[in-house]
Amino acid sequence: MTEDSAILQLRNVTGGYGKKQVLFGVSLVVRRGELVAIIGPNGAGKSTVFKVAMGYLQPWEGLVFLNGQGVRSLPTHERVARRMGYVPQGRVVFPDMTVDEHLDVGAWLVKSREARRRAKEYVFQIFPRLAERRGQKAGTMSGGERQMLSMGRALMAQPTIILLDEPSLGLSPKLVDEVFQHIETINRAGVAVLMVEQNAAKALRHAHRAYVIDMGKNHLEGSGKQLLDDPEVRRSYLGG
Amino acid sequence: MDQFLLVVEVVLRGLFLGMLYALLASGLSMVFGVMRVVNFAHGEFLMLGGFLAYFLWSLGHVNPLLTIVIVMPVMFVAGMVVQRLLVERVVGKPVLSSLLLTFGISIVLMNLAQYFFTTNLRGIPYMGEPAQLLGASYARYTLLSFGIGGVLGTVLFSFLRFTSWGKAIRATSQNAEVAMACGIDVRRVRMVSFAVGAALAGAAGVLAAITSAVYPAIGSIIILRAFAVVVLGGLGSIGGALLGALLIGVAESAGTFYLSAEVGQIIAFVVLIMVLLVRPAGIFGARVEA
Ligand SMILES: Nc1ncnc2c1ncn2[C@@H]1O[C@H](COP(=O)(O)OP(=O)(O)O)[C@@H](O)[C@H]1O
Ligand SMILES: [Mg+2]
Repeated sequence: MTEDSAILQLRNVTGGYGKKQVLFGVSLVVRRGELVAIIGPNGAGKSTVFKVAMGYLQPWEGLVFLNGQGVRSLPTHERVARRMGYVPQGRVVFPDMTVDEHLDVGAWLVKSREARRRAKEYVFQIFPRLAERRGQKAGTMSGGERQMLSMGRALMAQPTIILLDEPSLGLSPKLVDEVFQHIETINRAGVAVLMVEQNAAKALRHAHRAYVIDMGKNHLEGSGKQLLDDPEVRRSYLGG
Repeated sequence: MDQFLLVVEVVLRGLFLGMLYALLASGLSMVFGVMRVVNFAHGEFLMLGGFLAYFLWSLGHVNPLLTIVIVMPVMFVAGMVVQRLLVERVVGKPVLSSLLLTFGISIVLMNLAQYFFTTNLRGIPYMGEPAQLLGASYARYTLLSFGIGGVLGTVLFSFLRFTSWGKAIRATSQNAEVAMACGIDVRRVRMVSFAVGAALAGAAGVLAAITSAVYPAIGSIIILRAFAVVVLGGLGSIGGALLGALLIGVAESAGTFYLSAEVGQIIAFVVLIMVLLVRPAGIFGARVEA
């Protein structure tokens, strides 16, 4: 069926919202421990791919595999229980909940108190800034802090793959670098990463492999370096 | 001095009254926060809880206070069933569907109660002796019911603030999609929130039966006050509901005392309109907070 090492696989997925078709056949695979990027213009359907992968949106056709098993109609929370993490676009947080409470909610599936404590310690180790703001409400935090909180929250459930939708969008250049550092750290700890990025050049430099998605379809794929050197990619997606 | 004690008495009576509204309004607010459904049948849970307490006491000879220990779990389960079988169907649907559905449930329950229990007023005579407090005399049941309401309010607050289910409820109301990404089964959260609301309304029904009386239409009358409280406190805000309820209770008590009983009846809505003129989103935001 699927390769043994594939954690997440989409095969010829089509779909959309109501009658409006957005995806016209998207296929991709993320293997254990990989860092994979998706780039492509605004409105290409990248976030929609994530919504299908997470089960927020049912695909019209095509297959979604998680660890080799078909999960087409598995509800989102059960995909999370199978160790998928998701950080939506826009640094969405629970505005009235504190940093601590976010991490507690992120650990909803972790039943042992000791494991929860360790997970929190790990998150604070990666994001020391969060440890300083444990009692602060998320709604009052800066964009960069909210992005880290979102990622920390997703890490609490100890995912084997994490989907990051535009993690660096709208951040200052310094914070963008910081976020990419964090993504590398998370990936090096063994978590597979699938990220959508507007910051295409940076994403390709960090990614093992990448997909270009355009108009709801796979357009190109290759190693980060291959795409970085590809004249068409440079022209169309890297701005020269 | 006398004047001062009188004010104290008016305020206290208002707080006692407000506690009943608070029990009702906090559940209403929580349900709205989590599923964006305005539950018109919420008052009927109070009515059913009150009747259940009355019959447990009159037929089963259960101590009136102890009935609460039976009524709350029964209403919890009833709430779960109503939510799963009916209300869950209108979550995320246009607001008219949920209004029609819960309004329909309300009418059916009220008419069933009229059919089976008649329109008679049923009150449980209990702890009617007077007690002195800050220069005025109150029936003991008034103080008792205030105490129970206060305990339940505190328990609800702590539940929402400190337990993982409480946090899941608040998370779901603030952002259901992210809550799902945390592995939370938001359908179950909706069911539990609704059930907790029904149990609290049932407890309010017990207190209503002890402090005055229950009858089939009590729910539809008192729910209007609860709506005023919820809108005042900010839809979805539990803390706001508790504060708003006490505020409305005091306003009602003051209106009745200083003006007339008729004014007391409408004062909740006058306060509501005045607050909304200043703060259109209510005193607090629009999410389940604690
Ligand atoms: N909830 C929605 N309802 C209707 N259309 C949507 C919705 N979300 C996205 N779309 C449309 O789907 C297309 C792809 O959107 P999206 O997946 O967010 O693109 P990307 O993430 O690549 O920028 C866009 O045309 C967008 O307008
Ligand atoms: Mg997007």
